[in-house]
Amino acid sequence: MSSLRYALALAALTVCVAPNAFAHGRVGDRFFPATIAVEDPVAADELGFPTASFQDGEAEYELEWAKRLTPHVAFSLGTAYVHGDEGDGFGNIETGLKYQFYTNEAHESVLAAGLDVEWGGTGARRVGAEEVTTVAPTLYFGRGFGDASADWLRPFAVTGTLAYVQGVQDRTDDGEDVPHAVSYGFTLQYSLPYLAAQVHDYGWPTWVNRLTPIVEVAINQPIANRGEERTTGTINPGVLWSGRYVQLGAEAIIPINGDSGASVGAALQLHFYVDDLFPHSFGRPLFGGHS
Amino acid sequence: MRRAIIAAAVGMLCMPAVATAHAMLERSSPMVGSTVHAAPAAISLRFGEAIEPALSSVSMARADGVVVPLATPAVTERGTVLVAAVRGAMAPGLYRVRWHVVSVDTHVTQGDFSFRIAP
Repeated sequence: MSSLRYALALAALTVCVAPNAFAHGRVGDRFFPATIAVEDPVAADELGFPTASFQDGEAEYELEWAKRLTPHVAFSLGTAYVHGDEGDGFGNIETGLKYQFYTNEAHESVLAAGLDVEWGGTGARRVGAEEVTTVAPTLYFGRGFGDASADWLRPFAVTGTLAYVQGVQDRTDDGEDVPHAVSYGFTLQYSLPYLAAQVHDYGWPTWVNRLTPIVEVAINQPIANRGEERTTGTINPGVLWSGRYVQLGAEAIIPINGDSGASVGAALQLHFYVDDLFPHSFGRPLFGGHS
Repeated sequence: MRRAIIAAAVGMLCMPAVATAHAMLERSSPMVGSTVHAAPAAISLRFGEAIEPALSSVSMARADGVVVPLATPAVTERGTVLVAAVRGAMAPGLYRVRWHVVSVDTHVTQGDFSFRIAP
């Protein structure tokens, strides 16, 4: 290639590298993996398919696709196919809008706000799909501890969500209460990728250095119009493996009380980084982004 | 239904291998967090993806902030290894390496790490 053509190619490449062109889930030096039970705070092009969970004889296969409209705003669409004692069928369709409004690369911090909607009546009643639409304004946060002075702390990160879930009506057509609930969750992550690349490389195999041990806690607490509803939640310890284009996850599902399940279950996830798979086409934001 | 989901997932795993991804630091020389007994002749960074050398950089400084000059970095091994020769003297002590790379798909990654030269 001549030097002129090389210079032109380089100039074109430079134009394409916008400041927001950080790779999937990265905030500064930190990579926030997609998590299974608690939605992560980063707006990204991604596809979780399937997220399979098994508990108390019921199997659920979930699909969630997220598409960035702009570099910091993402729309999501999801549903689940449920196989249970009462029969098989799809759950309600769920949509979400997430705006990542604060990003601090130096402190590996991110905040986002969103609105999730579960569209009542779009799923099968026999698998427990509710008939009333619910809306959930949600706050998301993420914080990596890479700026901590103690090296042992630097691979850790926390993420979390806080949502207020309310039905568009307070009773179903059958007269059942539709509770208002606070739904919250957090994750505690220990990033081996961060440990190996930023703190201390122990010479472990590359596949080990891509693991992130994690504990997720997800709670749903009815606070008004609660009827027979009780607080439910799970604690999910597990591990995530982050590859070049995909992520694999495996977690146990430990119910916090009898209303949350009778036995320990399991969740498995295959997750695609669409923005890394198709950086020049499907993986780009629809507006205002170059990656 | 279960078979269809599994088949679709496997099919998606087989999507084009030519797609590129972000460059993660996989190994370095000196190793991240290590203690070495001689000053390195070069800083070598191995990434999981090919990187664009003209848009990538690496710098090094002593613990007191004094910069150690490095040569213009070059890439080797199909663009996955960024190498910068050390141009300055390195006394025993703690050093911090800062890198910022752009993979060939234009995604940006960055990071830093320390290593120590023992007396």
